[in-house]
Amino acid sequence: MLDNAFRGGKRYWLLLGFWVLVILAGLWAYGQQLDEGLSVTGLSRDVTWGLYIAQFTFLVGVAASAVMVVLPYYLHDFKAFGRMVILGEILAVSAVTMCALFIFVDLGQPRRVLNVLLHAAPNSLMFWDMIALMGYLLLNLVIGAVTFDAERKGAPPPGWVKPLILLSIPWAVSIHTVTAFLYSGLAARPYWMSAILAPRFLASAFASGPSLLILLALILRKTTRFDAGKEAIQKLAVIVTYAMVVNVFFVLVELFTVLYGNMPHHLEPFAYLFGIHEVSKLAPWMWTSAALAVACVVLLLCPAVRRREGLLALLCVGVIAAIWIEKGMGMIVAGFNPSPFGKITQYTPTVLEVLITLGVYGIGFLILSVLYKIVVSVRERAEAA
Amino acid sequence: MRDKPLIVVGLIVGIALLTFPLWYAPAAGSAARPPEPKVPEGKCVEDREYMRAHHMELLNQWRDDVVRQGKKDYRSQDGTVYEMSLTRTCLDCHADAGDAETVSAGADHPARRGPAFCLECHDYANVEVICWDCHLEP
Amino acid sequence: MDKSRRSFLKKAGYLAVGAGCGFPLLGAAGRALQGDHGPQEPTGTQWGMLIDVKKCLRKDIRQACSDACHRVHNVPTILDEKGKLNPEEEVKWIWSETYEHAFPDQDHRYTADSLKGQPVLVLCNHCSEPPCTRVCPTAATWKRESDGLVMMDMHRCIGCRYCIAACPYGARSFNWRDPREPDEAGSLRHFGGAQKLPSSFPARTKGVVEKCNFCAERLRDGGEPACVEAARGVPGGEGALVFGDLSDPDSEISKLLREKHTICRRASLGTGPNVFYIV
Repeated sequence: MLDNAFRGGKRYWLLLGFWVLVILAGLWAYGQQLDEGLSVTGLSRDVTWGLYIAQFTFLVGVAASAVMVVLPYYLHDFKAFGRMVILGEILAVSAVTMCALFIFVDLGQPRRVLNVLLHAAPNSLMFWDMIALMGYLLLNLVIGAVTFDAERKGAPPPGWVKPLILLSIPWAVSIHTVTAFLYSGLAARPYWMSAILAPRFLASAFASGPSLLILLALILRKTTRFDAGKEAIQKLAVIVTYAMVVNVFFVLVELFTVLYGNMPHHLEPFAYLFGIHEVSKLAPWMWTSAALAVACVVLLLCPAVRRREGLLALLCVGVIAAIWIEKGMGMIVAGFNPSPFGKITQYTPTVLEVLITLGVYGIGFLILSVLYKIVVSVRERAEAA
Repeated sequence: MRDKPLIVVGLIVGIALLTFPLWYAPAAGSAARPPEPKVPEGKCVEDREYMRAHHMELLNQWRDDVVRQGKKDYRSQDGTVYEMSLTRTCLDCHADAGDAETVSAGADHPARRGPAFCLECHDYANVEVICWDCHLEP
Repeated sequence: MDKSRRSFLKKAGYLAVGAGCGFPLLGAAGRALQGDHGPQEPTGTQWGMLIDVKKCLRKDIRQACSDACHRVHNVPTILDEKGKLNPEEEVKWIWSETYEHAFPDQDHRYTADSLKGQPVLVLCNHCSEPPCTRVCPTAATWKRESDGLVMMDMHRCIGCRYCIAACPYGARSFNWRDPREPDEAGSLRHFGGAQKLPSSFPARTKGVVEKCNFCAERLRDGGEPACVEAARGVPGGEGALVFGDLSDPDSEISKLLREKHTICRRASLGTGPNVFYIV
């Protein structure tokens, strides 16, 4: 089964070669960061987390969204997801790997990262996040490999995999909840300290993750003979729609509390994000994200629009972009602005920071490409036979 | 066996490459000489054999005792009491006079990696010492 | 291979993996449960500080405090490439902020003229319920039981900066670069071009967080914090900073706290700061 990763046409090797180039650029940039310290980034004493942690937050959501395929298929026997499930599990593996890497490149002393396990601190959410993410990675690797291998052999999967699959469902929800708890337990950051942060994270995850899955399934159908199925894609589109509705609703709910409550500590981060009082580099991004989110959700609510796969793909891109901006850049940086002393500090990622980020994405997409190639090759051979 | 000469040549080249680390340095005269740290006068916290084997654990223990427990005194195996301090106790004897100024200087300065006494063995064994990323010499 | 041998090998494999993973995990769990407490005499001390804001309006007193602290602990003054002060990468342990920024919960539209926009000394509050120690994934920062100090273990810090996110007082600084990096002449760029560091206190390296430590190393030798000593050294600065054991009802600080009206920063957050201000 795994030998399929080493056998491929020109397009496959070109794709891998492209990812490798991106990774090499990222590695070079990371070398600079290791040498000089995190001053090569645009981070500062006040805005102490930025692009890396933003990507981590967004990708944990993507990883968790695999549950949206696993749950219907395994728990409710929704057969249409038969070919989609493995795609979702592989996406989860790739996303969790990227999450771990983004945390790693954000550390000031990365060689000490194992201290988190050696000197376990159960009071810290970051400790639990590490446990949850590593466990989820392991779960998805084992479940994906075992179930796909069994299917390839034409036999049912071994019995012991079923409890693991059942475990992966609440575990997926928990990884994103734990990540939300990282932020929502900090009294120092009023923008984050909201009970609705965890539900918001999950809603946006279940909108952005399946959107990405739809795009990947459409790409696979275009470039290979692997077809995840029209019905599967349509069902995912419905999931994206409702998740996005809930996400937008949650944001409106938060806006009400903040605007009606009128407390300066809660109002100021929102004012900063949307450039209400003073110029903010983030404002154009946030307004775009808001407009995109509303436009996409309104359009997605029309079944006729969802059925046109070209339009659906466009809307998925819009959903991903809107959530990536809002959950990534917006959420992290707004948590730090204004600072405990009321100061606004602008944050712009540097070129090195972007290169390192792209390098990590390169690693994630390399893993994704290789694992998808295995699945596609096995399927194509099975269908030809 | 027409390939015999090729095989023999290949074997010789292969073995030479594999054993390269063993013979190159002595042949070129650039072999590292075994370390000879300049042992200062007086008595160390523990005896030489113990320190050779355990100085890393001792330093780690001191680090935890001082930083995490707030302790100060260490009773050595022969009963003498020392202050647990890398800078004030260890370097009192093991720092070279010439190290002081250069060790405070910037990151790339070679002497910044530590006193000559430590480097003598640590360079030879190629075990990186990160103490001097932060700790200073008097 | 016959069935029994196969199942034996499988069970042996599981046992090996289990023991291989299990023992280290048990060890880690044991240590986690024990915490980093170990044998410590529970003295019940809680160090605290009282700052007289009116006295500290004087620039020379506040400057003396910051200078003494930063000198004693080799705190760098981070400059950018052009040699100017770089506020984004600033490392500071004790400094001045305006009254409105130090006490955002107390500030209102009719703040007294004597306090409006006036500078106030701020530093780590060594809270009784520190949010920063709670979030640290490696316990590189923790509240010492023996004396109530919120300590930093620079050896263990992985530089994740979660504590900075958690601190409501902006008291912590991160080393974005190596503070001892040299300039073109080979001198210490962030220490005013000196050749040597001002003191023998271990400097820090890039990638770790630092903050005021209430001069733990001086307290251990029976001394007092450098800022308190420096303030007293300025003529007229006596009583500007008072330091003592809050759990001792007869200490000077406890008596003053009973007599005077004092406030602390962001009391409503429940962090229980141990630095108090007479306004």
